[in-house]
Amino acid sequence: MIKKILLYALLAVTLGYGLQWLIAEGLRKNKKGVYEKYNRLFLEKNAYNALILGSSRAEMHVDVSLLDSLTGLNTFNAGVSGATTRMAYTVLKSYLVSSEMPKVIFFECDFHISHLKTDTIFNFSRYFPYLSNPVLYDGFKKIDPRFCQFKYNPFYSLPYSGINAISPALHGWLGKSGNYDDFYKNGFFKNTVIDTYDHFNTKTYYGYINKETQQYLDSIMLFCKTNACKLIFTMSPAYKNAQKEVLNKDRIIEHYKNIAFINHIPILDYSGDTAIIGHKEYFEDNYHMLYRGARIYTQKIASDFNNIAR
Amino acid sequence: MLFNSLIFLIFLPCVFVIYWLLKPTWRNLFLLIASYYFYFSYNPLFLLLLIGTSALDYYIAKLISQSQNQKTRKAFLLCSLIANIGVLFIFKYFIFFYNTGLSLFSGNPHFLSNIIIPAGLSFYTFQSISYTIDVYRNKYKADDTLTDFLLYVSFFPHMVAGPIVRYNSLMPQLKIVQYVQAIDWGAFVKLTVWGYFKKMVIADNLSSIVTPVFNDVDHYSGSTLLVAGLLFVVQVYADFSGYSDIATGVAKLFGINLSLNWRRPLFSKSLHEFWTRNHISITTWFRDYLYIGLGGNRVSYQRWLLNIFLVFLISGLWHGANFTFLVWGSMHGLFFIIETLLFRKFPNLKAPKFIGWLYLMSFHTLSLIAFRALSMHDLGHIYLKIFTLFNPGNLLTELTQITSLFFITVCGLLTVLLFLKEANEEYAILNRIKGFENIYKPAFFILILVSIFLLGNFNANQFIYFQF
Repeated sequence: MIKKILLYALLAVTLGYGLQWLIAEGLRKNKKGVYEKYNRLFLEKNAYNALILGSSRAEMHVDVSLLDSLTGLNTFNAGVSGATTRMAYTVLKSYLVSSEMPKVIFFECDFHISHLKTDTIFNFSRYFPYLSNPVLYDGFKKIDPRFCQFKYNPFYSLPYSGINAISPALHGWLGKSGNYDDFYKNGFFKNTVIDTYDHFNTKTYYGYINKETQQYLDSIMLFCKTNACKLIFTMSPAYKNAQKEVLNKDRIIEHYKNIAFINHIPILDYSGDTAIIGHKEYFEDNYHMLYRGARIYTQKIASDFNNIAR
Repeated sequence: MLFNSLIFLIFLPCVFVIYWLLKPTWRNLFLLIASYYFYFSYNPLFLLLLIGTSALDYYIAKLISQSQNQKTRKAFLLCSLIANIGVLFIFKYFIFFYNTGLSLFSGNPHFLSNIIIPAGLSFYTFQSISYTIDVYRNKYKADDTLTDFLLYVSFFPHMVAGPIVRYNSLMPQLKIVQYVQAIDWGAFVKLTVWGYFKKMVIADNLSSIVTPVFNDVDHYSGSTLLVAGLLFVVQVYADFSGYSDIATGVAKLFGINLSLNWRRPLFSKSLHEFWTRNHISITTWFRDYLYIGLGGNRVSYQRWLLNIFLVFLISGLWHGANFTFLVWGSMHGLFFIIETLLFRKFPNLKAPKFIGWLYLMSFHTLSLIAFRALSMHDLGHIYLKIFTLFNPGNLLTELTQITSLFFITVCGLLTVLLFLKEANEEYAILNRIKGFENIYKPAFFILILVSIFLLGNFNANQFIYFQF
């Protein structure tokens, strides 16, 4: 009886680990889409001379192909959904495990989430296939201790990656791409999706730059300085509704500008750019632009960069 | 505490270990405390209601048992019925009747908003009522200890959503000394693994297609609404029978066998057969305590048909205070009567099995659409669209607006798997294969166990029947 139970348990455990490997390997085999982006970020060897760092706003707003064509840079967009400053810093360090230090980093300062503290990672199951990257694993484990279980216990990680990971994993194994995979290019997400729902509701609040954001901003600045990398702060446009959402928005932006001024960092503030913020057709929601808006914004920061570089 | 919550996975092993470490004399008391803690985790205040109603029934049953005077016995039974049905009425129906009354008779009504219904209220109330009625009918003597009786009502695996266990089935098992060596581990594993699979993988995943459709019926064409109705048939079966399987499996850890609640109802070929297979414990409860109470078939012909109709109407109302449940009950009552009359008129009538199954599934889907619709307005809209604006060409487009084609395919395959497993149980197809019991069956359950982790919905969704 005990032998039988042990055999069944062994079978179940083997099956669990087997499935975990099959899914992770399938995701790592993706040649397009978000997993291809993460493969490049966390596993592959790259030699980009510029990097876009930040959250989904960075990911969706800076068209790196356009930027490169206007500036002569060779850029990769390392913006990841839901990234706070701490996460962005971890992503940068993880990227550098295999890749070369870029010469320029554009860091997106999100005035609307600077008060949020990182205790969980947005879309955390997307990172499961990349936990062999020691810096990523250590960094994320410090933010969310469950990452230890996610790495070693398939019965803990499978429910989180679950059904949503099967389809992209199958795409990886079969060498096919999914519906949204073609929207990614060099890490940039070309957002042309228009759905019927209205995402423009607002809820007013007072924001601030919390200690964690401040601390990791300092770390990024110090890291760039030490490694002779030019750091540029960017603030992409937010729809006019969002201008009213953060009641003390101007104060937060002023705070970012002070930090930039003290540390001699250029800051490209387009958060309230009137040429963009009043046009609903440029936005998917209050904080995320569609490609139409992203194109204009990219042209503007490319022009600014050329001025700075001169 | 939900069966599909993390806390239950801690609670169950703790209760199991302590239960078997205790001396047999203390086990029932411990199980009662554990059951009350299980219920306490839903809502502490409602635990008082559970204790209050069941303790009241215990003492009333004692009084009925001790009394020799028929009138006094009847008066005590009435007290029990008024108390139990009164509680049910207050929590489940008062607001419905109040608001309906206001909307009919007042020009400017101030409707009451809904209140929380204690989890499993009608399940434990019905179990308690059946006991006092049986004592009144002299089926049993009320000579149990308070602890045993309270445990009979609130034994945690079945307390919240059944099966409603009869006194003569559960109480003898609570009174004998159980031995840990007698635990049927095989049955425990099979029942719980398959139960969790049905709930977390099949029902909860189907729910993410069904719920958006029924929440926005105006947006979808008749074909999508019908498919959502069909998926709801599978969802509600997987959800509720999944709960019953888990409850039966968990009870086995304490040496308790709960009665069979589902016998593959979706393989029925008539409504009569359906009601001998579907939610058996509540069906037999309604038969024994309501239908027979109304006179059963020992009344005039017309009254007999009325009794059948009333039982279904009340069972519809049992599900909740909404006109849609009444429509569901009425449909079942009406078709049950039509079938009864047909069977009486043509006793040798035998339709091909497939035709019978098709009829049952079509009727069951259409009636469950009434069960699932959020309001009478929605229900009218759904039926109108199904019968006049079917538009099958829109089906895939509308479904892929809700979720991905891959997810829809997975849900389809899961439904097929459920059907195949049930078909095998129904017709014993694979049992004839050599090595089925020792090799293929364990391998199947291991696969199912692992796929719960892979495909399961771990957002601790409540079981559909908790609200009833």
